[in-house]
Amino acid sequence: MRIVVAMSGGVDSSVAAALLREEGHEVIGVHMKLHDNHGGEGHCCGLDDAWDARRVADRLGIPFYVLDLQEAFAEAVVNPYVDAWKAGLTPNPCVTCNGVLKFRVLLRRAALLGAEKLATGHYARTHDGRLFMAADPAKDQSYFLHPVPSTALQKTLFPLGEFTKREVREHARRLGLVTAEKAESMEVCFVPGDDHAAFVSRHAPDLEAAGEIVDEAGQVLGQHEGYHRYTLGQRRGLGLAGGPWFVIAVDPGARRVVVGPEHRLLRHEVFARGVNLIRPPGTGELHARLRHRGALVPCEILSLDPLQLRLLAPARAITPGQSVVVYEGDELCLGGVIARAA
Amino acid sequence: MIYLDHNATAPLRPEARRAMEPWLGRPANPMSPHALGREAAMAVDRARQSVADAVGFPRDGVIFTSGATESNTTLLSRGRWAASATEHPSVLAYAAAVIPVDGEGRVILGDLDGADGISVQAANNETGVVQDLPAVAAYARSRGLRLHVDAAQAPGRIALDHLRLADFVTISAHKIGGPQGVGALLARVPFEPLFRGGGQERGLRAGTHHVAGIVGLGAAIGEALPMSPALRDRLEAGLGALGGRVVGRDRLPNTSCVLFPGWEAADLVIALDLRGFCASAGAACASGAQRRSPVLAAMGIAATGLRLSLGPTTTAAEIDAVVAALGDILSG
Repeated sequence: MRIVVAMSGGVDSSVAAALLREEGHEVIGVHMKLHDNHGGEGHCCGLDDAWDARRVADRLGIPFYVLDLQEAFAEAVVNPYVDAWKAGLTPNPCVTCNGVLKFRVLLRRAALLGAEKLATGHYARTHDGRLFMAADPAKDQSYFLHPVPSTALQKTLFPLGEFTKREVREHARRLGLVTAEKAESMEVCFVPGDDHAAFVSRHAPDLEAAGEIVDEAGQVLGQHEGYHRYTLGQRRGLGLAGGPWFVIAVDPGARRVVVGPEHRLLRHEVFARGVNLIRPPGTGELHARLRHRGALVPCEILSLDPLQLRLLAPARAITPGQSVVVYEGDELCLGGVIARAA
Repeated sequence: MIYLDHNATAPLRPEARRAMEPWLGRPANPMSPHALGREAAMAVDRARQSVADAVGFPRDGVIFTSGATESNTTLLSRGRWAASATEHPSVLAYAAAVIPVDGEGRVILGDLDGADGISVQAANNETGVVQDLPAVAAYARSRGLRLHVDAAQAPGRIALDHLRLADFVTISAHKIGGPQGVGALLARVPFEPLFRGGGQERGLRAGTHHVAGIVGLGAAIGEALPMSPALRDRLEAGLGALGGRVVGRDRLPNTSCVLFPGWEAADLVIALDLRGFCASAGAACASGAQRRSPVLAAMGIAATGLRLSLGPTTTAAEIDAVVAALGDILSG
């Protein structure tokens, strides 16, 4: 079978490509150049990640191509990311990227190249257009994949779905891949130094304006230098007397950050938009996940569209802009972007 | 493998290979006073004469460099130059002003304030569009401007008669079947050297000569005669029948830059590669990435074209094969 593999230049996608090659498939490596956070105009090519992917492809003896998606990525992912912070949300750009850019572009290429399948190095499992958690719960990335439509999943393989990270690294070492010992990145790929506030300020300088930190009664407790520096549930960096205080809301219209005691962060109901239904839930027990690596919370679905969930145990700091996904057993049935909680 | 990317780099001509072979591994520094040094100096001198004869410049105006980028940088990093919008990036990097081009890629010569010289290529690497050098030279002369012509894509494709109208000419070896890593800057008037040091090239370009490479350039340019457009026309007839639109009117006889509505050139390059054809989308980029073409943008076209560039050994059977492969890709 001819398979296109998305190769980021990390160890996971390197091993995904290697595994498919070992199974005897005809593998084509594709690297998506999404941004250039190394700075500098006209720094057109030759970033380390692309080269690592290229070295791995050469080692595996597969064709390899770099696709320049910088313009599309800026439009589809970076600009909405900045806009979300402006709107007082805490966005998850990886979800956006998977939903609106990555799979769409890669599947188009795969079709063009006459490939039957697309493969990525995500830790998740899929069959028959359905999406499941990875066998290794510590590495599961199904949360990030929730916006991928079932029709796309039907054409997608996740070769690492049954593996642990440790096994993946061992495999990379055995094959002598240059990416075997590469450090894992948990950051947003296009935000240098994981400093989202500095990045957002650079793209939206007007957010730097000072505003008030108030309690729920509207009493002013202090000042802030841009509400995009705050996310729901945040405790550090408030600089307020008394407390302990937690961010319980961000009001972009009034440029206000609202703080309160921790128990005010607990909520029982979640409303989400942009819901992708991969498979209608059956009669099994349902669990919601409200952030990457967040706990699984038992829940009921009150409405599918727009999505409204009742949590059977309260959850802390349900953050607008992050995603909520619903599992039945280990199957991810649906997910959307959190609009608000009650 | 069918190679249709000669504007990126061309295979070494047999004559160049034969001329270079004796110099590979021989300790030959033309600045040395001994017999081997003298022999090397004479070999470089013969290559200099060969380049001078081909371009129509005096022999002493030929300065060997590491390639067209160094030639362009040497000249354009000093003074104020206006350059056409479709120049190579190594020219545009230093341009103080940009001369626009029309929809066919030809320069529009209007008023230019504050420039000492203009840089206009003989032919474009992506589209093959050939500039009207006599008109450009007349314009430069009438305004007292120096004229630099980047002729990296001209030898082996078109006649070089008009290059003698320029004050400076850039030549590349590997685009014409010479080796990579060598080129020349031809000058009729003095210029400031970029590399200073050992006094090579009459002090205009320091650094030990790449003797084998220079000899290869001399041999290649002597063989680089104009090509017939017959195969290109055969190719374009085929591309047209598939719905392709070729960019530019007056073009090199080896270059076709073609747009297929609804298709990204990068996709076509990949699909061709998987079928054993070497083509490109716009210019070659360091990591093989593909992006929108500034050359076509300057011509008012918001796309990147599929570039097929032929060489002296390209055959009609190869042309028919690539047209058939494209037909297959476009219908799949």
